[in-house]
Amino acid sequence: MSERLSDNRDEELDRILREVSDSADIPFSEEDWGEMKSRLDLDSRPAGLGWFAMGMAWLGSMGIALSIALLIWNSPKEIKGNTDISSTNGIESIESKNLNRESQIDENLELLSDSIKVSIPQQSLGFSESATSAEKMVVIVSEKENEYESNAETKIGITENKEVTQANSDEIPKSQNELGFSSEESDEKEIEEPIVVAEAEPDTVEEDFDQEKNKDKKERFGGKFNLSFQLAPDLSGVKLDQFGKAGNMIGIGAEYFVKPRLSISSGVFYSYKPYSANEGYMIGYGKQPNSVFGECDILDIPLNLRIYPFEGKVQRAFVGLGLSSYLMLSEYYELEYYGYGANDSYTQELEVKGKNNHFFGVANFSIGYERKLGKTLSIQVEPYFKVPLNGVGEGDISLKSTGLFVGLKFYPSGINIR
Amino acid sequence: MEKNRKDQEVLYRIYYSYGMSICLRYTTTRDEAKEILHDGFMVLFSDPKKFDPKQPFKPWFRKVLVNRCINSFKKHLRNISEEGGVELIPDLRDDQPNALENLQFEELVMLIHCLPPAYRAVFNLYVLDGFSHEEISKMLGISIGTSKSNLSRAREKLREMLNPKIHERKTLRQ
Repeated sequence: MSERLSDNRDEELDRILREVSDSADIPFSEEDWGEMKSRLDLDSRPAGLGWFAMGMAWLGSMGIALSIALLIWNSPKEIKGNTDISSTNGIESIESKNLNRESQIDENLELLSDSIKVSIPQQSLGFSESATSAEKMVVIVSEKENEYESNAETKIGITENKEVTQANSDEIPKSQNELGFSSEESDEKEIEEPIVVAEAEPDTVEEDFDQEKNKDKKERFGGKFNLSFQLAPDLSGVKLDQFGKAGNMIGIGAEYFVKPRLSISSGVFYSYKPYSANEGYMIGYGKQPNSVFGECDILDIPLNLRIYPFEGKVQRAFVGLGLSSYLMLSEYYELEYYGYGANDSYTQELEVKGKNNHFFGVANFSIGYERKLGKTLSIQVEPYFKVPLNGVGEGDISLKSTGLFVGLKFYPSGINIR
Repeated sequence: MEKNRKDQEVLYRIYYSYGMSICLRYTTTRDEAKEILHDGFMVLFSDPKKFDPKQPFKPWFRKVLVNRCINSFKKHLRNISEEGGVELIPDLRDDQPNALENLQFEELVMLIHCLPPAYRAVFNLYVLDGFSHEEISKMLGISIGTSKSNLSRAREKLREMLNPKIHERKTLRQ
């Protein structure tokens, strides 16, 4: 009986207090709206790292633009120094220039053989200078090739030149004899001279080529070590079809070549990863939420191996594989539970700072393309995919990430652009 | 953008009092209440899809605010003693026989603020916001028994504050 009375008293008290609470009339505050308005204004600006990210993005863009400008500025000088054969624009590949040179050499050889053919009757008519000039031409062509060629085809071309020159020099006296020109000492000298030059030159050429080849090996693409600044849009999700709001990654990297085509790379990257996931994909939060929205600030320290299967003179591609350590700087989660008693849903917020670190807990896969921009700079794009080995963060979730690194690489020892 | 801002202001003006009355009951300072209220409005303004227009707005908004209040409460709970006593007894005119009937919202808030945080949370959730003990236990991470016990003590303390003389006499009789 006393319990019922007590219950009635409780109900009465609750009812009155509820009425008082519901009847609240709090005067509107313009000052509060002002604060709300400024918060809304602030929120309408780009998310993520805010001004810092925008500043870094701008700096990165400016750096890339500057590098391209420098490249364009430097390119004509390089081409001028190397060849007079064809006029090229800007960043045309050196391979294509080599092709041009090779075809030019072929033409010269044809021209040479023609001139030799022609030179015989000329000489037989007593015009010995023409033969000499033809041979001189061989030497000139050889010298030209010698300057900038380093491939096998070119060597063959030069050897052929030599043979042709020698053959030619044999022929000339013969024709002279045949035609009975007896006293041409000066002619003989003139004939001999090119032979001496032609015989001497190929050796020098070979040596030069060897030197070039060795130089090539030593300074293949860049130095053994490089530093990079990299920036990437980053998409994170628990399942591959659940990538939502974009995050970002920004940081510096270092790379060391243990072999010409094998390198070890590392770095420190700050990453902001927002993500959301639906029912069934979060484990480890205790009570299983039906959906989760998360925002994580992560320090990503990768250790990757890179293999460069394709390497040209100005560009190369690589495949990267390795492990990352995630240091979770801060984690914020909104966990939503549906069908929660009388209410439809309940949202729980969770904030964790500096609690979860995963050393070598994330596998990295990437492919990349690098192109020279200057003597010490190159640009690199690298699509990547990261997958945790054991789950990350407070909820031990399998937070996968993908993105595209765009970066500038700096080679302190310099890159050889030919 | 401008039109959007005006619509937002209209909504803010309409639900300011309602939202603030909820937040003030859970928080200890007006600034904290305002922050939570603004957090709640931000949920609506930054992601309107979270609200289902087929459902009534007020219960949804209440839920959003209460969730945030509870999160804030949990943060504060780490820093303060759960059994923190009543620090300030509001100056209610207890000589008036009908003190409860004439209670104003401001006085109610003052009374609630005088409750220890754990009692205050359960009282707010159960009595004023209509959650069940089961729900409260999950939200606060306590047992159902603790939730019931805290509610009972909260009521007792409120009665004590509302009518100290009557309560004194009752205690003396026991």
